[in-house]
Amino acid sequence: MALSLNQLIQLNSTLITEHGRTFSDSYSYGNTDIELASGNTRRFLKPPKLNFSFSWNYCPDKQSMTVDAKAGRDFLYTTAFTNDPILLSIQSDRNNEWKNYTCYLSDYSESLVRQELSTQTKYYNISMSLSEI
Amino acid sequence: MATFDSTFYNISFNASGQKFYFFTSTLIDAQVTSTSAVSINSLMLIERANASVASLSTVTATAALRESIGASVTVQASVISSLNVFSIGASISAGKFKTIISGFDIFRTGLVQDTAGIKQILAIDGVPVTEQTRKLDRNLKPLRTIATKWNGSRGVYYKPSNNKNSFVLQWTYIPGKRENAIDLFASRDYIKNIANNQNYHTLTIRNLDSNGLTKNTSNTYNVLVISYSETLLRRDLSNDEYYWSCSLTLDEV
Repeated sequence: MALSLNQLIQLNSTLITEHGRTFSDSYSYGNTDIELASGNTRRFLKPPKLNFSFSWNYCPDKQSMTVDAKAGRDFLYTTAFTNDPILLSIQSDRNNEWKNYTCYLSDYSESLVRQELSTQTKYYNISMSLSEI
Repeated sequence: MATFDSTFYNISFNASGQKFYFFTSTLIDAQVTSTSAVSINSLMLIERANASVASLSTVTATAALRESIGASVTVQASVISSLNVFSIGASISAGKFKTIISGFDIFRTGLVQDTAGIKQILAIDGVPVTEQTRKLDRNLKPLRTIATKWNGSRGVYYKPSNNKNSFVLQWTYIPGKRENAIDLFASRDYIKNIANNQNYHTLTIRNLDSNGLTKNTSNTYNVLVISYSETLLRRDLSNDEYYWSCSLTLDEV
C-alpha cells in the first residue's frame, strides 16, 4: 500500500521515492578573493551554484516496491547513465512550490544490499550528487 | 499586561520595561502618535512583507524586512506616555499572511536596565539570528608572510591591517521559518538568503556585560561568505515546516 507523502524531489519531471532518502545541499562559490597589500580582501563576484547530495537506503529497484510507489533505483540508475543535463525539481519550500535546477551528475554509486527472491526485488544503498549548471 | 483587539494591540509597561510576543493573522491598524522619546531595539517584521517605517516622530525603530509578495505593510508605532501605553501595529493592504511582531527591548528615557529575556548573540546585516542550537567558532587568520632565509631563520612580514577573524556558525534542527524558532529570530530561510548573497555582510557579536542587566555593547565585522552547507533533517508536514542543520563560514574582509 502506498503511503501518502509529499515528494521532495523530481528528476526530469519524475517523482522520486522518499524511501530511505536523505538530502543535503551546499553552495559552490566561484568568486576570486584577493588579499590586498593593506590586508583588506577584494572579491570579484560570480553567481553561486548549488551542489545537491542525495542518498537512499534500502531502496528497491522496482517502483511498485517503494513505500510511496514512486521511482526507485532502476529510474535513478537509468538517469545517472544518460549524458544529458538533468532537470532537478525540489519542493524545498513548504507551500508546494517546486524550484527547478538544471544540473549535471557529479557522482553516482550504489551497493546491492539484498535480493528478495520471493518478490524478485533487489534493494540498494544509493548515493547521488548533482551540481547546478 | 497586554490586551488585544481587532484593530491594534496595546501593551502596558511598568517602569522597568517588558518584552512581549504577538501573533496575529488578522489585519491590524496602525496608530501613530508619539509623545515621548522611546528607543526601540530590534523591532522586527517577519514573513512576507514589504514594509516602510512611517513617521515615528521621536520614536526610533529598526525594521528588518523579508521578501515581498506584493502586499505592502506600513509599520508604525506609538507611545502614549501619560498612560504608559505602547501600541504597535501594521496595516496590510493586500495578501493574506501572518504578521508576527517579535520580541523587542524597550528602553524608556533614562532607563538603563536591559530586561530582555532571550538575548541574541549574533546579528547578520542587523537582523538577529536564532540562538536555537547555535554554535559559534572563531578563528584568527594572521595576515603575514613567513619566509625562511638561507640560514634557516625565519622572517615574518606583517600586513598593515589587523589580523582577520574567521567565523564558523552552525545550527542543528532549526526551522525554515522564524516563527517556529524558539526565540522567533531569523532562522534557516534567512541564513540561506545571506549565503546566496555574495556581497559583504555585517556580523554583529554581542558582548557580555558585567551583570547581565545593562545595555549591551557589541562588535561589528564586515564579512564575506566563504561556504554554506545544509542538510534536511525532517519535514514536519503537519505544521508545514522543514528542519535543517546548517553551517555557515564567514571571513572578515
